[in-house]
Amino acid sequence: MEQNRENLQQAIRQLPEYQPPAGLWDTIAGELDFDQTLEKPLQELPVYTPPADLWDSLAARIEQAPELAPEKGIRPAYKWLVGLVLMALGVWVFLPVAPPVAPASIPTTPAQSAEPIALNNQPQQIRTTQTNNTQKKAVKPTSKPRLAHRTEVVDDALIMACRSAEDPNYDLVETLCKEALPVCEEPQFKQLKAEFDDLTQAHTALKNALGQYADDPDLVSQLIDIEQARDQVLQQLMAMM
Amino acid sequence: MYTTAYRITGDVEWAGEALQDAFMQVFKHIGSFEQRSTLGAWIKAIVVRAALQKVDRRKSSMTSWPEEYGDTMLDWGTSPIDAMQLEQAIQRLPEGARAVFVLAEVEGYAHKEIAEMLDISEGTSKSQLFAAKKRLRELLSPQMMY
Repeated sequence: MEQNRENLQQAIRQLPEYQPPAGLWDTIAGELDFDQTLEKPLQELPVYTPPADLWDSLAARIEQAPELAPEKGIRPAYKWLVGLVLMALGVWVFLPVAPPVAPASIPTTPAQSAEPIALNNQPQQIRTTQTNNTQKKAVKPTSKPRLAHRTEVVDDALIMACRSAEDPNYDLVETLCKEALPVCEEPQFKQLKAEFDDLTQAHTALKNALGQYADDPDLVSQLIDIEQARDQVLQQLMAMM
Repeated sequence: MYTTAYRITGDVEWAGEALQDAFMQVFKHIGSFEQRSTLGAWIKAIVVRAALQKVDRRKSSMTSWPEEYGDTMLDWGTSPIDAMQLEQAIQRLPEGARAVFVLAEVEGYAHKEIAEMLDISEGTSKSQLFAAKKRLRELLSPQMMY
């Protein structure tokens, strides 16, 4: 409890003001100039590269370290992707050998077709009915349907690009984590790393299958999807480091 | 700003150093100002913290204060208080109590804000303020009329 508090408040309002020493602002300005002077050369400090044989030594150490082998098992987040790949493999392997019918709406080019497709001259009157996964029947009430097939050719360069999906950056991630970087112990980092391992397993399985049937466009498409997912995860891992 | 720093530290040299430290922080971190308060209030808070860092004995001086003033009635008298005498009395307060008094009564900070700045509880801030006022009244009592 306070009585006559207004007297205290009045005195507080009349308290004197003080000025800093004359040279204070010059000192502050001088320190700022010093900081700015130092900032530029700090950014321009030379960058040193490791000896040329360092990466070879590193790669050799990685190969000799059994604990760097990818973990077994599939993480739930990518089970669906692995499942899709395996399902695609199964469907492809057990496909009945029957030439598919090209839909009327898909144009073909000589590079994509082993044979030119000869369809009816009135495509707007044709209705297609899918009877199973491999055959389509063109129905026209007044004329006999004509069937054709095409063979899709996959670009060799694309296949080779998919086959050479080695990851030196991931090797670097593994090596740096061996040095006990704190970021490697973060849950998000561990999760990303596990996802990358799962994708790598799926990639390896699909690549093995592709080794036998290198001209299948569906498998190549699946492989590209996995490659892209792996790249994204790897970029996130590198960004965190 | 300098006045605040001087009043908290009670030392011209420390006040200058605190102001210098504070403005270095202001210039370096001006990009992180989130406009949750005015720019002036933001800078003043930095100055206050810099001044408090100079008075690193504030916690020990706070614990040495008795807290049995709860039921005491403070009477500031019927005549005006001389500002210069009040200033001298403020400077004679222990550092911790002086910081709380300056922040609460002169600068207008709430006890919650003071507690955060000084890393003490709100209760400690309130008791320190009351103790500071009690001591000020004692120091000013020779000139007071009742």
